[in-house]
Amino acid sequence: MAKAEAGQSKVKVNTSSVGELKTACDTGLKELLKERGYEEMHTHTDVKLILGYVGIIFCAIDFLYSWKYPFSQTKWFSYISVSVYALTSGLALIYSYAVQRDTFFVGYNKAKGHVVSAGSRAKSNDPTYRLTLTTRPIRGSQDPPVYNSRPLELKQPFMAWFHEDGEFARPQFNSDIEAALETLLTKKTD
Amino acid sequence: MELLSQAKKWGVRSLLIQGLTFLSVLTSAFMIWKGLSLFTNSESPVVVVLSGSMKPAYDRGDILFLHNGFSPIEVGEVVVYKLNEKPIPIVHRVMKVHTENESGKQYLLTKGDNNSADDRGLYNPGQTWIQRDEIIGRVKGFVPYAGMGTIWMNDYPYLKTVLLGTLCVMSLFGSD
Repeated sequence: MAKAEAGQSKVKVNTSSVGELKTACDTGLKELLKERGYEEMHTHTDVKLILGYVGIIFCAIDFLYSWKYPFSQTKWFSYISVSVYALTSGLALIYSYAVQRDTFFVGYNKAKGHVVSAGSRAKSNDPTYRLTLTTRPIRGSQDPPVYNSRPLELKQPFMAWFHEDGEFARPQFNSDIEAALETLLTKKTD
Repeated sequence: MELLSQAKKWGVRSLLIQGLTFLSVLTSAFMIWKGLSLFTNSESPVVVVLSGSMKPAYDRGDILFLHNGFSPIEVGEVVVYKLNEKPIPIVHRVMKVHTENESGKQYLLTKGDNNSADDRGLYNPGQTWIQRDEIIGRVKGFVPYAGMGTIWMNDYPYLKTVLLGTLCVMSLFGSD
């Protein structure tokens, strides 16, 4: 699978792999939104990183402590570190399933005063890209139009955006996504 | 250095994510072992039999699953013990138990089924009994000969290098 540069070089994927097709679309969408002025918000990643590393730090300390001193002496700390590790791992898993779910990009547009969140799903053996876009105003922002609070769902077969040889058809993809974004951002809630 | 150029290109966050993915494999393995260790109250809940002193029950290379718990040891139990000065765990049967009335402290004498003499020859000089806290655990289950690999790697250290090398090569060519 070819990697896409931050420029616009060709992306070519294996069209029989739903995973590769989905990843190429996700990356394309990220690049498009970044071009349109959306700065990436890393909240989901940061939460999981913090939980993960807290667990790892406790594990490392426990490892060193029990390496140096006998089991009966270090047992009390092992109880603590195993509990902390189980807790942080559990929380990270719950966060991933309940809060983050399919979201792969959250972007912050300061100029327009809103946040766009993109999540995608593609079932194996079903070459359809299911995209969900949501938006919310930035807290405290005074931007007048009240954006659509309902998520926008886009469902398209992958082949609409890929050539037969697997090359990613960026122009078609971009225009479809931009149309979806327009709908998401200009419809008013009633 | 490759790491620095990757850091510049994809940012520190991406490095941290990769680090987390790699480290969580190691840490979860260690934590599972520790958790089992705490549950069984045993510093090493899985051991490999090193000698044939418990034949025909256990033979060299058997993997034993231990559970120590906190209850007093009884005569006839097969236990694994490690003397305070010596690093090698020994798997033998408990022949005699003396218990102090007031403190409940136990004094144990062990012997391998396949040995002609009791373990007093193995204990530390001057030691005629072992204590409850020298017991790593009682044998609760076993898998015959499953630990022969560990024994070979201890007897022929170059095998460890061969195994490590094979794993590295496989990981380089495996994931893409």
